[in-house]
Amino acid sequence: MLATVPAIVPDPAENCRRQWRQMALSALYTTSDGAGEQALARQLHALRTLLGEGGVPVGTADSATSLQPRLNDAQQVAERLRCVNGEEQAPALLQRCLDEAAAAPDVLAQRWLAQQTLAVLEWLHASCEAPHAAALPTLMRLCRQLYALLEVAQRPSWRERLRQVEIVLLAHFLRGQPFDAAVLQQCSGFFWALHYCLPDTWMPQIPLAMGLPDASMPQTPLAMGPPHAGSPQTSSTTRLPYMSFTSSLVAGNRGMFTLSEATGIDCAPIGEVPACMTPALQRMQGMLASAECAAPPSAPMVLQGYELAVVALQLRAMAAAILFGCLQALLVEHWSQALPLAERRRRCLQKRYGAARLEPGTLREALYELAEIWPPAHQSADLQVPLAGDGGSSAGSIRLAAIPTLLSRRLPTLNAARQAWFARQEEFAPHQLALQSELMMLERGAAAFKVRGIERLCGRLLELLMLLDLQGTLARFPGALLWRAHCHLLHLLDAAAAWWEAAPDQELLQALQDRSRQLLPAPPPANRVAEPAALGEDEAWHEVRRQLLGYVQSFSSLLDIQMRLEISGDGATWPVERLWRLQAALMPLLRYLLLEFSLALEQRRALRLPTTGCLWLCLQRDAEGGPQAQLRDDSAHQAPGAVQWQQLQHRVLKYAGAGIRCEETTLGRCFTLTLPLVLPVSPGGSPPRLY
Amino acid sequence: MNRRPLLLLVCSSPLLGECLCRELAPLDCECRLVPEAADAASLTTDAALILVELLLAGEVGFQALRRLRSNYAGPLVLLSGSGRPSDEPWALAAGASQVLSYPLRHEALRALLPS
Repeated sequence: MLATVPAIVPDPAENCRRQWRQMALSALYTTSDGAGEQALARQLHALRTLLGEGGVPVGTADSATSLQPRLNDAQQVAERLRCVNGEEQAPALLQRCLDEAAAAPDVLAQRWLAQQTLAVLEWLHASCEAPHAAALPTLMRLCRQLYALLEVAQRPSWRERLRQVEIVLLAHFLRGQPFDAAVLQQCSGFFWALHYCLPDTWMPQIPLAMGLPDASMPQTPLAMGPPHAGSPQTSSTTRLPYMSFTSSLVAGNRGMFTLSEATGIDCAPIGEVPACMTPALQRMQGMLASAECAAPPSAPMVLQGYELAVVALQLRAMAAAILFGCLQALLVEHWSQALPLAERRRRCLQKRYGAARLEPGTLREALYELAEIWPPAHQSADLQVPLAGDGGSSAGSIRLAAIPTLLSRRLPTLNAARQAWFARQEEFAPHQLALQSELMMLERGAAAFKVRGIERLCGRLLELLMLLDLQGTLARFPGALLWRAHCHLLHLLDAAAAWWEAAPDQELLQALQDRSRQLLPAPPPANRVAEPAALGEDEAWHEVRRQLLGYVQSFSSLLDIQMRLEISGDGATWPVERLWRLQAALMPLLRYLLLEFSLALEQRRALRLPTTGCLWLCLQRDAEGGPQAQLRDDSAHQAPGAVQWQQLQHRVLKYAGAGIRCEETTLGRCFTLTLPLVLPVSPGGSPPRLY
Repeated sequence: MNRRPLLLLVCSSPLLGECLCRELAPLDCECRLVPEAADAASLTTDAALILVELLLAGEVGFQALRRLRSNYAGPLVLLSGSGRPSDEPWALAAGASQVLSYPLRHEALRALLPS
């Protein structure tokens, strides 16, 4: 995403001149050739459009006013040329006309500036409704173009203001702060003010303080929309345009003020770096100088960067605070992604941490330089991760950068847990479901954020809780172990919430795994299950669950993957015979899914997808009341390949007389197993043989 | 004799600690800089207010908050310079009474101190 920022179109001022020359040359060429009258007419039309058709061109440059009649003449000549080929007067006249126009690039720049500002406003209007991740870089790119145009158009005062807005936006983005519709709307105030000011030749110097809270002005952001009748550009009265213009300007200033307030930083373009920070800055430079090229920034370096940023902020050295805050964000980016500091980045950091004073323009230049050298891994922050919520019933996508927010807002049970809950199974049971739900969500989020410690701990805890649930009161409740794991999880979460290192306790992980293994039921033989027909429905349902879970756990252990099976639904109401057939039908499907997950594990790691899988089995009735089972798998979106699918269908039919279909969903895929009462006939003509 | 309220500042950076103590001077408190949360735990009984730095508290600030909250019922404030909106809800879940960002202003703390 950040890579788009430096990929700015060539300097608009230069671009403006270049396009002008190109048009001139093109027009001259087509004329001297004697065959391009229509092309000439098009070029002249483009020139006239650029300068403002039918009115006084923007600005008061003499060259512009003298240019317009000559262009009109040239247009007439071009039209005559359509009738009379070989007119010799045209090139000379056109040449004179173009020479004059080329001498007035500022006029063109102003016109371009007006068009560009309107484009920004239109873009803001469109983006305010639904701001998205790409909004800020786009806005910064537009700002950068405007900035260069303001220079050519000789608007130094507005250029200075735009520079401040740019600094706010860029710092906001580099520091990874959330960007929402409110900020976009605040920007609109500034750009409206700029839009209203452009037609005027004078530049009123209204101090920024005038834009501060004013009872006469609405507190809400400016309404968006095109200039209405009576706006400064069209009104014939004097007072109304002046008031309207001033209001816009004040609102623009307020827009900028509230923008800076919203982002938490002041718009200070220059400033001294406080002398008391010198030793800390020298320490940082020493660290950078001695850092190994192939190593990511060390934790002390990141802490030192943080200290410099907050000290500058506390001392209200705002320019330094903005710069150091962004440098810190760059260090954190490298640190969290374990990226080594490339030579260019290291040099940039050393140079910027070595500045004793930030001159006008330095801050903007430094921030754009940072944007250019930002590590490309930052672009993957847009990765969308499907999150399964309560038992898989709800789900959504979140941005990678939103993981800490997720951690902090959706874990009320984990945070409220007390040691007393873990004393006995009866105390624990009322909270178990909520805890499991939060753990599951955490596991997914941690996987996306590559906090492997949390992902693994959650996986182990979920595994143990599921097996405990399965065993019921038969198993001894490992309260002390669960409480220890819970405290450790909170410890890791605290670190992760601060984007700090989270190293799991290996001994604890091993203890959890050992306990799970003790509870693991003996797996049934593949393709053949112990028939629970002699049992009642409840017991049979329990037995089927036990065997399915045991199968998934033992096979996962064999493949060295983490995969869980969550089972829900009304299996206890199913006829025993159907349960048995369901189990037989699920075996080949589960085996296929586990193997597939195992084969794709490396790829999943590379793509930052969760390395722990979960399957949700739900038993229900179809529209006609017949038993039906759905197995949801969110680890893949595509249906199995043709050959595998054929084999699966064959096995499901052969072992259980069941039908199977696969649907691709937004969150993955869903397999539906139907178990008809009358066994279907196999392709060979005889009913399937059930084991 | 009236004693000035004790304000504990858990921060391992002397430079930042000095800046913060200067800012807090108008509160008329005894401001004590403690580099680690573990050291602050023994002083909590006398503290009228505890400020904990997010990353410069000898450990992650959230962990320090949990540690301190287990035996301190008074106002516990996290100082965060990360700019992340998730700091506040997570800190509140970890036991903080309030989260303040930089630049810290003494006015923001006055209401939290006993009158």
